[in-house]
Amino acid sequence: MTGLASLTAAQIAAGVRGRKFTAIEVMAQTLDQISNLDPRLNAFTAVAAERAMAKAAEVDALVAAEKDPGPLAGVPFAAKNLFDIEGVVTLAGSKINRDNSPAAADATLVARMEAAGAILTGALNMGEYAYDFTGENIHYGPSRNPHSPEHMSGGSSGGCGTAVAAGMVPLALGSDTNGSIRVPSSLCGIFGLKPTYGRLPRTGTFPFVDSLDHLGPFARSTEDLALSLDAMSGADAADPTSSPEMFAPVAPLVKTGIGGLRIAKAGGYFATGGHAEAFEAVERIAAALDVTGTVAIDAKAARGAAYLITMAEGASLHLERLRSRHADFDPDVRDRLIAGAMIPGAWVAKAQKLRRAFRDRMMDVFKNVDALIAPATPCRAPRIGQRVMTIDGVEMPVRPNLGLFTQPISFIGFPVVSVPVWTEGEQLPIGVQIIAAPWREDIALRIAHHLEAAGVVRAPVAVEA
Amino acid sequence: MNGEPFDPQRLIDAMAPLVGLEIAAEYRPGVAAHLTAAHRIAQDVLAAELDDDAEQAPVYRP
Repeated sequence: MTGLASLTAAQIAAGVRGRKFTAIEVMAQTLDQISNLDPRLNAFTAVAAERAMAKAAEVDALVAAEKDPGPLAGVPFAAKNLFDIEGVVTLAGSKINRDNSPAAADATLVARMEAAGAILTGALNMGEYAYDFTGENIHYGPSRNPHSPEHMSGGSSGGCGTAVAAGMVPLALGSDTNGSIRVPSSLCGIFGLKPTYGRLPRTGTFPFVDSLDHLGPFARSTEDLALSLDAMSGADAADPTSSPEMFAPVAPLVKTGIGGLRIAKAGGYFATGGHAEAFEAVERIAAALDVTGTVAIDAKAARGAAYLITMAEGASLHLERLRSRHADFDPDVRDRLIAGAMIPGAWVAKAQKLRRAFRDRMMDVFKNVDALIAPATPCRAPRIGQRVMTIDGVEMPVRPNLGLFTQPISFIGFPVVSVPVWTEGEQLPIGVQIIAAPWREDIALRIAHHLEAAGVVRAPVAVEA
Repeated sequence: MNGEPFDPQRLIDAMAPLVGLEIAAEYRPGVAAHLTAAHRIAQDVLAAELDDDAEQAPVYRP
């Protein structure tokens, strides 16, 4: 058997469950693929080969005994290195955390994925302490874009974008505080799901901004996003933001079509401030969905509020480390965190009030639509090391501004699927956000799947890789 | 904001002792740039009109 490592999660699980191939065969090829590609692409900071092969043997034993190996039987996955992995130090992209003890147990979502039959292969590179949209990391090197390794993967879940787009794993788990799932999904040309705030518990992950932190999956198909969301859903009392609701599985709904759904383009803030390719991608999606309507949305203050909350809560989290270990931070992260310690509390309190007000305004919008489409990033992947970009004639730093279209949506916690759009003649893709009302991941996934089935969006394994 | 133009250096000098941070000379340009960006972005937030009874988003459940 060859080429197993480039299959989707659904294909791998079907093959393992149906005895077409074994989990051990899949994992052996996956580990080979990682060994071959990662020295150039730098997605992984730790590979759990021994653990993965042992788990694969367990899955195969269940299949042989005709017991249920789970819906994700034998599916390799990896997790951003802010997820706890038993016996591994949770780096969160930092040098400072190397001094911490290894994690005593797996993060809740890692454990739930493995309970569904999936197999953890290792920890993925990320921007330091998740305060990043580039995928660059001064301590561990940049995770590279598999479609063009001199370009950024996007961040902060950069290794997730790299590993999935390169075909090293079909699924990865990342985090998204202001766009850190959707930005790398856009730049690396894969599907990413930022679920509703509170849908997936964050227990056993290193935090960044408690008010805004989300976890979610990356994949090369919408079906795989849905399967992994279902595997990970469920309340967890250890995370006070975790919803106690029991959510119906979304995987059975993904292929039910888009009949009756009201979809509009997000206008206003979301129709300016990007390069032409960002808006061309939205138009391509709109045309494929027969969408002509636009809803004007003023999100400038919402983005500003998310920016301030991030600065303040991030600074609060790291204040003691900024005192005692300041020289060990990535300078780009350190200076932002120090600045965050100096902004007035009244600004942050106003920003939190604006969060609820913007949420109410957007809930009014969703009385008349079921989904909005908007750019995911203002441009395709910049080159690694690029510090500034020019948008509408204004020069601005790359690092904080790659997320200017994602930030207002995570601010209010609405679910989003980022879908990858390719243009003939262009080496790099760009993403479009499909935004739904709270808890309606099923709607965003149905639309994404409709586009995928029609060939309008796709996530091929990188040829360069 | 009204009054004097925003001066991040004065803010750094005033706030650093309060929050217990020593700001090395090589950190200052970066910190000042981020404070200037935050000050600019905050104007959009501060200009947003909210009622006095507007509530913050986080909910604490005892």
